[in-house]
Amino acid sequence: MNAIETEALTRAFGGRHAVDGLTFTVEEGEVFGLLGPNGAGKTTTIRLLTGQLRPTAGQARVVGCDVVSERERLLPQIGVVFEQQNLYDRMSGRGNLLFSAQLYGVDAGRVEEVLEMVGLRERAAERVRTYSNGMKQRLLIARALLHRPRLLFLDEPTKGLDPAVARDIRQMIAELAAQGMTVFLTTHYMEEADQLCQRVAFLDQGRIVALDHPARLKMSYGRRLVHATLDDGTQLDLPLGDSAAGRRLGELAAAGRILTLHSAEATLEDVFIRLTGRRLAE
Amino acid sequence: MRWHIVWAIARKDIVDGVKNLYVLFSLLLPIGMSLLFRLVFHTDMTGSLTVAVYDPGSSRLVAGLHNSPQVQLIRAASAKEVEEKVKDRAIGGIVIPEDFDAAVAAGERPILTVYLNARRGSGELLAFQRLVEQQVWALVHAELPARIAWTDVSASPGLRSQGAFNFGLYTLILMMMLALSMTGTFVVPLLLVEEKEKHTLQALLLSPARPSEVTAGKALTGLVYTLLIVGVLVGLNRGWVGDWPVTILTLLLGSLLMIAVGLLVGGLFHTTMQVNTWSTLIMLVLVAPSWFTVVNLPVPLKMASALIPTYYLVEALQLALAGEASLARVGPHLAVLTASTLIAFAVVAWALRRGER
Repeated sequence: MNAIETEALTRAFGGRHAVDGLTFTVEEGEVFGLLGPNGAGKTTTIRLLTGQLRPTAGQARVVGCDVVSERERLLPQIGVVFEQQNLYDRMSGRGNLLFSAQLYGVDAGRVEEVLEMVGLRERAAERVRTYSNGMKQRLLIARALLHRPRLLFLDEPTKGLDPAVARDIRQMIAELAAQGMTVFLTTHYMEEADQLCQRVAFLDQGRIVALDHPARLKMSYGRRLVHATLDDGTQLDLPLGDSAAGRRLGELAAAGRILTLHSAEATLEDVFIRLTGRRLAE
Repeated sequence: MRWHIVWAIARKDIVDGVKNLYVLFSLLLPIGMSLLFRLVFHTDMTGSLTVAVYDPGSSRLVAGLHNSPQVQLIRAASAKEVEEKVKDRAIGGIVIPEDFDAAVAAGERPILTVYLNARRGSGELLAFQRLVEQQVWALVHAELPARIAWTDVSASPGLRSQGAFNFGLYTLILMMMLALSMTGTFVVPLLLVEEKEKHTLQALLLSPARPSEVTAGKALTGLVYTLLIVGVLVGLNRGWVGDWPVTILTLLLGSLLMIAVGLLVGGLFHTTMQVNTWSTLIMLVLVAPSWFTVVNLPVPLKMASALIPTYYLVEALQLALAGEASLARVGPHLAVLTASTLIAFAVVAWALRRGER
């Protein structure tokens, strides 16, 4: 069964299409990444899929619910981690979760369970305003998981975090995925998508320009190269599978001129640049 | 409406809201102002009379004064101390000769020395003078042969019409109006706008809470805060006078009206700065009728004042606190207030439905 199904999903603000005719599916248990630069329409897509915005055209079903007409049935089945760290910062971490638990009708025992899960139990009594960004992000994930959702939306979950914290958050997402949680992730960090997602879609100016497994995308759109550094400092990129390039590489090796030699696989960033002519981080 | 969700939101806001300095200031301002009034004017606001007494002969006059509910007696050790107490804070003081009761009984017409504090206003002085005369008559088991209706022609018509009403009750109304408007038009929109500024409203609206339940939660918070602050004000100023059930009903309707206005402001604006600016203007308009109570307004201004729903709130409060809230007198005011409150909540509901679409 598909966790998400969209058909020509469109949202316009004034005359501008923020999301333009998206059609895709996400299977249950899959980690799906939506990649694109800032302003590509990632957050608008999440807002449409979570029923915060009504589509201008097209439709979407999430966990079997129409996002417009069945919003009330949909909301208890999804968890959302927002791009902004929208927590009650004068309240404690535990206080934030207990408040959410009351809204969802979840018992207090579950609060302790998710605090343990995200490693915040020791600091749960402290005010959120004393938390680091990483701790806040973990608390947001805990809040999103509190009511045991079937599908987790993560909007730029590692944006603005330092590399070590971002790695911890990715590890946490990977563990959730391993437990069978369906995850819909938006990011503009290609390594994140590459590491976590089974399939990714590239979003540019509100349209999906490619959708596939990361490895297949790299194979299809990337160039396979060998990167060589010569003894005089010259950098060479030699395409694999090209006979002339192969001969040149052999000559250089025989002459003992190669200092270093690396395979240079295409990255998702390269694929995006090839498809759109722009960088993901723009 | 799922009340467990409404109550969860209200409970969160009631506890968390007071940690917001803007909210805390808005809640405490009326209490602070009330305490300041008491300090500056040396009076409680219920119109009770503080009387200093020097009574070396244990006169029955003092027992009579003691039994009067509006009198607060201060015992003095000498005639000199009575004078000091009157200069300090009492409305008046009485020095009773040692053999006063016996002299009265013998028909000797003894002299009773009474000190007055003219700075306390003619209304209170008049009440004090009448009280002393009544108590002296009571010593010989006699009353005035007629009931005299005193009218202070210098007072405004609004005040003049309500016998037991006085400056103390007027200031109590001012403070209650301030409490209602600060909580309704400042605190309630701040609770909503803070959720917008911190993006927590987005999370709240993605939880099972419906927009109407979030709004009801904020309204309930405002109501709890208002009743708490008004309760403190009434307690501080011993305002359980007159027709207090009508006072409670009027305050309840008034706070609902102010809260509805606050919800509209909170729905319309997105930043604390905007709320502070607009709510100040709205509050000035809503509180204005309470300022005009003691002023003889020109007819056009009086008519303009009657267009503001809180005019009827002030009128109803005056009648209730003065103990003159008969259905015929207070009914029309409460009817207008109820209608205004219902209209305000209808607009809130319309705005919510529009937002949901």
